[in-house]
Amino acid sequence: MRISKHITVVASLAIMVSGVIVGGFNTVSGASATKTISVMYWTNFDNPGTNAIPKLINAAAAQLAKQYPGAKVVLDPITTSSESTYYAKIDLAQRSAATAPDVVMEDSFLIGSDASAGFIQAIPKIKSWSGWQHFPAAMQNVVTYNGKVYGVVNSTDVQLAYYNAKLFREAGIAVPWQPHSFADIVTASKALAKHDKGIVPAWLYTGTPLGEASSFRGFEVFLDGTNDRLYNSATKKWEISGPGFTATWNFLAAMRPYTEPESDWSNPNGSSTVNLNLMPANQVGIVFDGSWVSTAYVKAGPKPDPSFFTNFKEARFPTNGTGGYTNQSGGFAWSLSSRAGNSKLGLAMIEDMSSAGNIATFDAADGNIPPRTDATTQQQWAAINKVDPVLTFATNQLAVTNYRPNLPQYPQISTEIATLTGDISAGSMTAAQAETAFAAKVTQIVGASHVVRMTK
Amino acid sequence: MVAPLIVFILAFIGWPIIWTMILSFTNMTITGPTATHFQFIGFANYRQLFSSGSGLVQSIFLSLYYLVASAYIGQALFGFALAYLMLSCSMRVRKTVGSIIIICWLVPEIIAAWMWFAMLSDGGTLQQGLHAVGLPYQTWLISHPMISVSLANSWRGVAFSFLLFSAALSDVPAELLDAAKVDGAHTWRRLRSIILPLLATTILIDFVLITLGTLNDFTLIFAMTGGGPGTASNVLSVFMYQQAFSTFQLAYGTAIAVVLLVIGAIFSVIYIRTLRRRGALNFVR
Repeated sequence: MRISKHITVVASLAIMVSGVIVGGFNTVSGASATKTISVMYWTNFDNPGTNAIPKLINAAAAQLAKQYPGAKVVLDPITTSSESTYYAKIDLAQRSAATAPDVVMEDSFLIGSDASAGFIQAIPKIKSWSGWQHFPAAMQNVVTYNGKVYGVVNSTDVQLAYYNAKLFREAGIAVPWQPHSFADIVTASKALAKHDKGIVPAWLYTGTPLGEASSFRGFEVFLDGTNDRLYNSATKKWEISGPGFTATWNFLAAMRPYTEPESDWSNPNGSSTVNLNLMPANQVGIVFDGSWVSTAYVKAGPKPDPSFFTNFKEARFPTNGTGGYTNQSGGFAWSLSSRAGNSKLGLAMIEDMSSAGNIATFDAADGNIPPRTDATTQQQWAAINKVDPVLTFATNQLAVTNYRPNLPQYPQISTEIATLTGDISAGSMTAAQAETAFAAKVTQIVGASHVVRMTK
Repeated sequence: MVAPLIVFILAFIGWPIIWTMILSFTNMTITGPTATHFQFIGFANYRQLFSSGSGLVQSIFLSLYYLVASAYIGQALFGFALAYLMLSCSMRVRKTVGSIIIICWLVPEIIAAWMWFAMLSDGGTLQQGLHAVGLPYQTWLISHPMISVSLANSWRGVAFSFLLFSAALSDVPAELLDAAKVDGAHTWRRLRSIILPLLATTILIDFVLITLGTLNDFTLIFAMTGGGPGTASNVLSVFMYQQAFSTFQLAYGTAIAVVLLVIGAIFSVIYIRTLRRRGALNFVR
């Protein structure tokens, strides 16, 4: 019978499809009883062993219970193998009321994207909260999309060029070191490579396995040192090429012989490799990384090591010869899910988690920079700055920092950048090819009428 | 009896296929405005997928490499060789070897992946062992990622083919082999002219099952190499996952799933037709 034949074929297909599809859709149990709210967060964000987020949630939950007797908070921890998996998981969870949390920890660059998807809801009442005025305009802007506020930032950072003073001296490079152009970085990396072939001269985040970090601190922060930008908020155009882009792509290609091997950057846990293995073993010369790295090595940190602070020093991110310095900041935020079972309690919980005291305790434990000004005057923040002077140096960089475009197209463009940085590192693309491919990809994503080529 | 069967197939088996195909013609994403308000965009995903530089051709090649190396050679051929060689072994040897092979099969896939990762990675067991005897080791997961994952999948899956062939070999009439021996047929001739023809149906059934299992395999490769380094082990299933869940292009990922589906279907139809010609699969008339 022909039907029987077809059933056999369909059965074969179904075996395949079930295997293909099931892997992607995980569900997370949510809690939406009237007085019970859930908070979904990324466990990997915490410095290992600090449990700073659970402590923050529990502290805020206790305060919430005093304001709203009977209110309970359920922790909804998500542990993943990469950042992008966390982003996918929270978005998939928020597609259904059965799995959506009330409050969710969002990477600030996804705020616009998740707001436009309808996953998180605007929280206009936050503007009447007494704490809101303590967040500087820049910190309010990163959670604002289309004129509406979608979250409260709980942490921010800057990028630093950590350099190993011991290796620098041995390689004959003057210390303290402060590059003033891309060429200065290449020159130092070359000298380090010549001095010791067994070390990684420079660690530069690159390729898709390291996700957003490759785009953010492997490309964009360097582009910020030129006159070009990813997105021009005045003209509302995406910049796709120009002298700054050329200089940045060329810089990445020039650095290729001196950066970490593919075995390191193709590992999604590459940041642990460099932060917790290569740096304390003095096996890396320069590391372009977030300002939180040093906190792991303070006395009460997960990997106490006083020698870290004598071996590693910090340099500012240079502009490419135009004078001054640059930087780029990120950060995570607490947002209210559109499918929250109890939005009122959820908003109150966000406010409690964002109090000056709670933010100071949380950011001190995880080595972040507090996003609200009055948190930096708290005793907890002063205490961590005494033992980790890098944080004071980092906080001073906020004056020259930049933020990512908070637009729905950014996550996809960021992924394309990460892919191209990996192509350069793998040697499968030249700088010129990457520049051409980037322009084509961005044009394809946002449309030809929304892009511009810079000429100077 | 037929109606409930059709309902069951449509609801639980047919719908995922249909929904996957529908999504592949949309611009649905994980995040952004098209996450919830997606539109039909015709064949745009397929045009992008089949354009040069999309990575599809490489992924198809890697999937076929993985299929041949780990399923046909590593599992079927090696499983048959083990089962055949065990015929002439003592019961004690057969029990010991058989138990070890089955234990490999019982190990959950993610644990098997981790064990092989721990063995082949930089600073892993193999490197330490070779270093101890003064031999160099180039990290296989980086230098030979496809051989590494194929080895791991062969190790894990050989038991299935081994058990299937052991059962089939025990059904080969001993008097037939004895008669051939008396007539002067050597080992190779007996294998080629008697055993393999008698086992043909078993071999085809084994091929059907291990082909589908291997083409769809995701966990082992994703856990061991993540599709890398670069895209060196980016088989179709990993390519699909990355596009759908790492770059957030969910609909584009489903288009890759459909390609995977078609490749699996082609293999399945060929094997099932061959089996039917041999009179096997009596439920398919």
